[in-house]
Amino acid sequence: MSSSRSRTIQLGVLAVLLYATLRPGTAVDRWIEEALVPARVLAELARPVTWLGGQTVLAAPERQELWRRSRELLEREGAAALPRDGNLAAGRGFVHGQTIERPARDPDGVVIQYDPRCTLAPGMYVTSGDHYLGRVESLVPERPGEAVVRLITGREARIGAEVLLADGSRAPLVVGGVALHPDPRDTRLYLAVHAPSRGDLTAGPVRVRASLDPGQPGLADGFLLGELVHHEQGGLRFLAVRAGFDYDAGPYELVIVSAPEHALAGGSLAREPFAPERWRPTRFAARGTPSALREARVLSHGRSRGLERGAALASDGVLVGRLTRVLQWSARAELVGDPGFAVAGLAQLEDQEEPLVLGRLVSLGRDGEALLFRWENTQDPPLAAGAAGAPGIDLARAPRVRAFVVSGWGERGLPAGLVLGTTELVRARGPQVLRITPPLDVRALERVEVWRANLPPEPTP
Amino acid sequence: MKAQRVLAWIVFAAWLTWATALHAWLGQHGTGWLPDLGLVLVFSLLARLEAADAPWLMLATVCARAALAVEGHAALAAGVLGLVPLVLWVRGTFELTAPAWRTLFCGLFVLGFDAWLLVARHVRGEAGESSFAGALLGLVPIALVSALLSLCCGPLFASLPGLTPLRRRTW
Repeated sequence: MSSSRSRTIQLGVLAVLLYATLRPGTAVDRWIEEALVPARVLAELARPVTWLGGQTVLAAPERQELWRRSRELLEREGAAALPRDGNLAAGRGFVHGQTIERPARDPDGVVIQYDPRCTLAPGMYVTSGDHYLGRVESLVPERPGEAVVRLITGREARIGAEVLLADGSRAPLVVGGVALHPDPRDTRLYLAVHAPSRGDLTAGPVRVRASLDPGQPGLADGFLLGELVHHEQGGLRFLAVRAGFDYDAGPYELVIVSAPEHALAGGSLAREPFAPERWRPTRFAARGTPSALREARVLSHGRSRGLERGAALASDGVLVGRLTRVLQWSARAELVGDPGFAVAGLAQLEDQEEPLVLGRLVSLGRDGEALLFRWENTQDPPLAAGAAGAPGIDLARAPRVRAFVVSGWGERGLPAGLVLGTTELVRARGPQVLRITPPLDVRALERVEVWRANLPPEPTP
Repeated sequence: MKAQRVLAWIVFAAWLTWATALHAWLGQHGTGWLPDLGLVLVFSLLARLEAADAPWLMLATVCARAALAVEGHAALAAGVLGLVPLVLWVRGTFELTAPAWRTLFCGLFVLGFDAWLLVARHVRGEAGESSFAGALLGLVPIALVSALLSLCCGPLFASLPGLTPLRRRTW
């Protein structure tokens, strides 16, 4: 073959490879991935290297203690989804549900899992604490114990409500969908108000009033939507409900309001994170990775062993990572210390009984053994004027609290309750870096367990 | 191809896999000052290889790397296919077996390969919110120690048992 022809072929192949690299998920990319699967045989050649060093495990008492703390945290989180107001709890039944999917293309729809023994139906109301969130839109026929919930933030969502005015009177209105605040600096979420019964409404708490019969309250009646606000700009009157629920950080744990006879006594978890049958053993092809500055691994098993993309990896109940690509006989995983690894977090604070939903934690890598996660604190008030120095928080002045952090709900492949470690939170609004000390150095592991996401939910024993 | 050379390529793939696995094992606790043993071995052989044999070297490198590395196979193959011809072209001007040149160009080879994988990861949106510039800076120590390893052990790497049929006799 002539040198010129060989060079042309080489450039052509390089162009195809560049296209496949820069446009992931295309047929070319998938074909190249599968074409090199036989190279996995070479990983077996290198297995003797993985025998260097033993398997790190937690001592049984330490593991039991971690599981106990994690379960307690999840139970408290489940209890926090029930109404605190006794009037809202009376005469109603509550079915617990946990978010397992919140598609980016449809942020107003969440997929939940619940105890399949409970009877749900489309149209049932969904709440969290004293807050109204939305309705059950549909049940997933092929997956018992799964349903789609349409949040009140959805464009088409509407619910009858009433505002309690300062003079004690009540005014009906309709709430649903998101309203844009005239001040772009105000990033809080506002629900749109439709058909207010009076033109002079200004402020007051807004609660659901879906029942038309004043003597017969509906199941959702009385649950909070938020606070009515008004704003005048350019002669226009802006009326909206400032949402009382933080839709950025949730919902993860919620309840479906039902007639009392439909709710079941017992645990609140649809998926028990530590049940052995929910985990499948697997192993890494090597201890470590040749990929520079990455904390990621290749696994020796793939689709042929039932592994699925997005499934969590754990060891002794400690979160190890997540599968990012699954091939026929191998898979790739990013570990918790890999920069960019993101997970929903849930924390038990030392000074507060109710768990704190942290929302999304994004890994920034490690500092020694400690994991560094970027976290946006949206729940605490900001520090006093002058204390908050750009761009983050004045750590020296801010109050701190120790916290036990586990994974939260929000992913089908990653159950809540997997342990991340302990840290110290700064209790002030704004971005901060969490320095989490994990109970186990997952980088030294050779054998791990992978979550079986496709098993149907089962009630907690 | 003679059976002897086929066997030599298989042996090279095995050496490369072990070097890559050893590199992975040494770096399991995450140190930025670890030479890329596999790429130093590839460079050492590349400096002494017949140009016509380059496709075999590329194939062995991609396979060994794909077995243990977490990057997409297309990105690995593109990195190898882009850089190996460049090294061959440089070899036409500089004597890459000479200590100074092999140190310099091995460092650049490792830096170029790792930087390409970093670019690919960011373009594919797999790096989350991590800083590209910070990560790029973090690759420099790896390139430096790889260059030093090439200076000290380049000829040794190229003389590993079983690789004799792949080396030019005149180096």
